[in-house]
Amino acid sequence: MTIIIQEDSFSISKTILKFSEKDNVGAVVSFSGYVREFSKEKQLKYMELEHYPGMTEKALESIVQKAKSHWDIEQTTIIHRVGKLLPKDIIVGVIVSSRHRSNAFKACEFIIDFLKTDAPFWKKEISDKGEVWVAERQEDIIKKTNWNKLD
Amino acid sequence: MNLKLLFFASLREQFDFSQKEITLTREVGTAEDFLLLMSKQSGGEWINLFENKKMYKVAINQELSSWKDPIYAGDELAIFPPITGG
Repeated sequence: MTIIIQEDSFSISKTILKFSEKDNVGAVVSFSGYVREFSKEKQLKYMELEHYPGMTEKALESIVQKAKSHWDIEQTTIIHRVGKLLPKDIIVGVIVSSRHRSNAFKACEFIIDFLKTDAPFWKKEISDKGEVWVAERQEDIIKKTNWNKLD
Repeated sequence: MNLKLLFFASLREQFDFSQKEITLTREVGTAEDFLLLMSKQSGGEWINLFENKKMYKVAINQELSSWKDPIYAGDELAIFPPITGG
C-alpha cells in the first residue's frame, strides 16, 4: 500500500503502468478526481485543500485495510493533493490492482467513498462570489452507509 | 491536565490558531466536558462551539471519535467541520 499526500500534480497513468507490470495482476482500476470550474452558480478561481497531517495517513491506511478484508486485491496507491488547486487540476487518485477485475472495481469504489467521509481533508472554494468552505454532501454519507451492508 | 488542541478549516479561522497546548485547571472526563469547561472559562467562540458541537467532528489521538469518548492528560484533541476531501 502506498499513500502519498503532496502539493505537486501527478500522473495517474504512470502509476497504472507500474501496477500493470507486477506479477499476478489481471486488472488495474483507477479513480481520479478533478477540480470543477463551476460550482452551482459560482465560477471557481481556485481551491485550497487542507488536511490533518498524521491522521490523514492513518485514516487512509485503515480504509485500505478494510478494503483488503473484503476483497482479494494486490496493490493499492492513494495520492491526494493539498494546497492551492486550479480548475481542472487533479485532486486525488486511487489505483487498485487485483487478479480479477471485480475485486479491483469494488475496492476502488469503496476506498474513494470512505476517503470522502473519513479522511481529514477540507476544501475551500475561492470564486467570483467570495470564499466558502465546502459543505459535506448528503450523497457521500449515503454512499458510505450503503457499504455497511457488506458486514 | 494538559491537552494538545488542534483546529482545522473554518474552526482554525474562527479561533485564529491551528494548534495549542492547553493546561486545564481541572480534570475533564470527555471531549464534551472539555468543551463545556472551555465555554465556561473562555466564553466567546467556545460557547458557540459547545452549543453547535453536533455540527463538528472530534478526533482523539488522530482517531475519529465521539464527544462522549474519554480523554486523558497528554491526549491530542482535534476539532473540525465535516470532511470534504476527494
